[in-house]
Amino acid sequence: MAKSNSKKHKTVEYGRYGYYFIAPFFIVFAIFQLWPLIYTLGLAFCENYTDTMWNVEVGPTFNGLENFTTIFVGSDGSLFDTYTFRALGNTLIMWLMNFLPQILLALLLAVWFTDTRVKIKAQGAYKILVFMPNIITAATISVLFYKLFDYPNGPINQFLVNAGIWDKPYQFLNTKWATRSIISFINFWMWYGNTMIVLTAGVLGISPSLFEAARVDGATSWQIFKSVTLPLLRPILLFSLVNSAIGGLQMFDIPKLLTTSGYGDPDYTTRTMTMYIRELAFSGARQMGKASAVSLVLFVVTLFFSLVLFYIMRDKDAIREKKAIKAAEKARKGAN
Amino acid sequence: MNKEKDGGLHARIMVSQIIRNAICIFLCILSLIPFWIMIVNATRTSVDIQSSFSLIPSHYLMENWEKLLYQASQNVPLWKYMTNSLIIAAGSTILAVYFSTMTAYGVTAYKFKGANFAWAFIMAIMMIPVQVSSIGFFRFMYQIGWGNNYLPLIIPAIAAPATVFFMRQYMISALPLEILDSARIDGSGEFRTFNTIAMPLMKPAVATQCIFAFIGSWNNFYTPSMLLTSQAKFTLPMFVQQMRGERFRSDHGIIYVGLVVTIMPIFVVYFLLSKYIIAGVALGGVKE
Amino acid sequence: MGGAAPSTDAPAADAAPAEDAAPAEDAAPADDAAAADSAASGDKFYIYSWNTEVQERLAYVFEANPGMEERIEYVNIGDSAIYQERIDQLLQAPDAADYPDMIAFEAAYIMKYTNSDQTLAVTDLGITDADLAEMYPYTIDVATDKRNGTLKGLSWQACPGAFMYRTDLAESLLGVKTPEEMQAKISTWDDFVATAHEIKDKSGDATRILSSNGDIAEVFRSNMENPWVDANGVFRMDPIMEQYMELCKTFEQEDLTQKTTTWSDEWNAGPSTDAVFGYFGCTWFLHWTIKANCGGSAVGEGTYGLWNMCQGPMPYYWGGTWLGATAGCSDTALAGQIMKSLCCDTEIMTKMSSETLDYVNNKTAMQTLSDEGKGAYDFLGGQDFIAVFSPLADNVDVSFMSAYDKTIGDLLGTQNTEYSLGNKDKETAIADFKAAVAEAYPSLTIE
Repeated sequence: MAKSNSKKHKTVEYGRYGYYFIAPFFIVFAIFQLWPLIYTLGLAFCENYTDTMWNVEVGPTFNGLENFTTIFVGSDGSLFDTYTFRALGNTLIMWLMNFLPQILLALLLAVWFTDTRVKIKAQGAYKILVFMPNIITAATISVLFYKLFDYPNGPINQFLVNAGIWDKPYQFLNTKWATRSIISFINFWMWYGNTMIVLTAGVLGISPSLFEAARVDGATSWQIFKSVTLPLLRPILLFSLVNSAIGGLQMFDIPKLLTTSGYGDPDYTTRTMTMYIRELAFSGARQMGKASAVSLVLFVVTLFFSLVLFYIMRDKDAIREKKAIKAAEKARKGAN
Repeated sequence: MNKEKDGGLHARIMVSQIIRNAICIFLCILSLIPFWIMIVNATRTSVDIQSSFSLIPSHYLMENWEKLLYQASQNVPLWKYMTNSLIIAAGSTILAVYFSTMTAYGVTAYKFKGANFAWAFIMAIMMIPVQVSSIGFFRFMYQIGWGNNYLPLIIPAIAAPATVFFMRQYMISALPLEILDSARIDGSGEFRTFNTIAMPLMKPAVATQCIFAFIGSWNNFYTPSMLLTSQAKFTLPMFVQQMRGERFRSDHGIIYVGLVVTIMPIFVVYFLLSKYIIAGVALGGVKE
Repeated sequence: MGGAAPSTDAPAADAAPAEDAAPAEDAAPADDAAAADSAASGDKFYIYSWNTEVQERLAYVFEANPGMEERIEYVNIGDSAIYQERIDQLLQAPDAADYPDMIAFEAAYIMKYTNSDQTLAVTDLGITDADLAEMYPYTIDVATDKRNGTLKGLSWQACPGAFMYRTDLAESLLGVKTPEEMQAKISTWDDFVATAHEIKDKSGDATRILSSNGDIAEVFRSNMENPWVDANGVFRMDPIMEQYMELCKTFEQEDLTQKTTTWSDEWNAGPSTDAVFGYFGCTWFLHWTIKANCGGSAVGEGTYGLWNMCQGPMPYYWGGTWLGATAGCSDTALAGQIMKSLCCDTEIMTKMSSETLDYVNNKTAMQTLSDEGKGAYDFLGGQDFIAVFSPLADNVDVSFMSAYDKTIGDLLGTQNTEYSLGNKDKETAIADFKAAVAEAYPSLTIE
């Protein structure tokens, strides 16, 4: 780790190139995203909707925190008993139901595919195939799954009845937990291959000599995983976790398209935050002000979960080292 | 004793191989089912598709294919939709991956004032739900006269925070900064170093992100459908959606053929790039 | 595949339809289209819709108006779900090259546009009262601006509804031989439920009278005495919708429908099997839904020819497409010409109806076709569909319509499902429905 210290000195004079390298990103972001974003943030504090009867836009006029009041306080005055928090609850439930198995299975496969001791010969084919559900659009996937679970004569119902497991067909998509489970499963199944590929790329980025050294020292697979793979995989794993969290909290396509009405059937129990935001913004009275405010809430929730992940995944050694360096510098300054 | 232990080890490896392969095969079958259903449905008639579920192909493929070509030729030939999609997907993929790597390199390889802030900022914009800012985006594109144009579908790809995030995380574990120092000693310019040394080292990450970016752009229906208005500029998913939109008389056979056609180019890109994913040339240039 | 020319640059110099006129100049269609588009997009006349229906009808207009087709850029959004979103975006960009000159509207949201300043009065397009003489009055009521009584849009079709049922099943299960006898079996909702039981029992659970609960939604909606929202912005639930909820619960609990979801594959598959006895549908529904899904295209194939229509327990009306010119329309004369040809010209409309089987919005045209015996329809076993629909079309009353129908109808559907499944009692379901309406439209007064 002394290396990084000497490196620091060398790169200082090249610092200005950092600006050149990141400039395109920030210029394009400023042109295409910043203005719409500021616009959205501003609307969160405004009254802005369309009077449907005459199709006339009302506002935007500043109304302080009124949008947020309706988000946090229900019509009967009880805190958090609102459509927003019900949508947030649905999102978190369906996210966790697919996020945990997704990460675990992807990690397991990534380890298997990079394990030099128990070689899986066909792993190239497995990797390619397991990723494939990610290629099809969500619209197509939803149609296929809708058909599989259709009532009364969908293939799953036919199978269950013919096999004598149930005596009559089951209305999967009219049942809260069945629908949530199907949505979670689809998301899990579509994305674990993607996560696996990302994690495998991460494991392959680790120098093989480290694994060999560990093996020569007689470490078991589990020990290697725990003390070589996992620590060195941390940056990529963090990417996967944060990316899945962001993607999961913005879940939209599958729940929107799987239920026929698109409102998160049954009874809004599969309506996610982004579905709710779009509904507010584009249907009914097109309440842009409130939609923007709900977006802001979603942003804060996402930020919270990401920070939790950053905290859990933080590089404890690096922090300790940084602290040590700081302390040393302080001591030196003190000495001077 | 030793031999026995070895034998036991071999047996254990055999058992885990069988278990692991069995689980992988099961997962692969699970992955292939929707493709198989899609292909089978492309060979069936619309009425068959609606009335029953089947895993056995029928023989209406050519009929459906010809109907698809005919439907397309009513306005614009089918290949035109494909080229349109390809221009958008290829353009945005190249920009997204190249500039994201560049941005990630900027914040990783250089120490400069504001580097940490820039990084935190990129992370933060990744977390902003895109659902609502799209309204402002479309209004703005029309204000600057970029409606019915491919530019707003391609250029914004330069600022792809998730790709930057991935590239940076990958760089931390796979791009030794010592190599850059030695390049400098050899007199290589900074941009040349990036293009000739850093980029090649990032190949697996680049390939992975190319696949993701290409699929994302190719399958994107929402943004193009909000921006494009002339039929000659439509993308393939927009064309398939047009056929689907014929609610009262949509021919499911044609739709499934259309979906199969839509997926083909992704397959090509995916299989071309998949060798990087499988082989893992991650450490080609690293000396330890 | 050379086939048809792109609609944008077909040199329709003579009166022949585009398909015939094109082949000569059709060497590199797509490139020409793109070039023409970028060169002269400002001169194009943009018509927006969500599918090819209007485009196919416009072919008749182009045939009668040589030279018109080259001016028209027809934009098919391809998805009715995002159509309004797209239109609303474009209407805010009057300077854009692709700003719409004309827009197609569905019944579910037409009032949003005709009651606003975003559409032009048809009198501004050169359309006179004489042009409207042949129309069914309800198509005019729907498109009239409720603020000042000016007419803003026209339709070429009329969409009264009827009950469409299987003649073979009626005879074998109910002993019914004529539409009159069938009507007697379902003339009230009580009769309808009794007949539903009879069908279920006699068929040994193999056949149900309807496919889904959603099938009766439009029937009841059409029979509301007042619209969901009145002119003062007050929301009221019409008592008839409670009757609707009760009936859906009866269907669900007594197992009287197939329990599918409207427009799903299982639902669409119904006409080709013996699982469903009948559907409530309107003029276009007969051709595009039942006939398209009957599993055949000639008598003897599938259920083709085994259908009849009768009015059912309540008269009703369902859907339709209107055309309107936008406030920034670049060529009002052209817009007027298109509307006149498509929606007012008896000769064109007669031809259109005889070829497409559309029930056109022109009394003389329909009378002529009926007199010529063109109404006898082999799909209906020879029954005259014009004779069934004509009296119904005269009496359509659209006072139940408002700009809120689509969204509020969806919101009720969600709670109605909960109630009919027995997950909620009626009071809770209605209270939740009202809360959802208040959430979607915060400015309404809920009663």
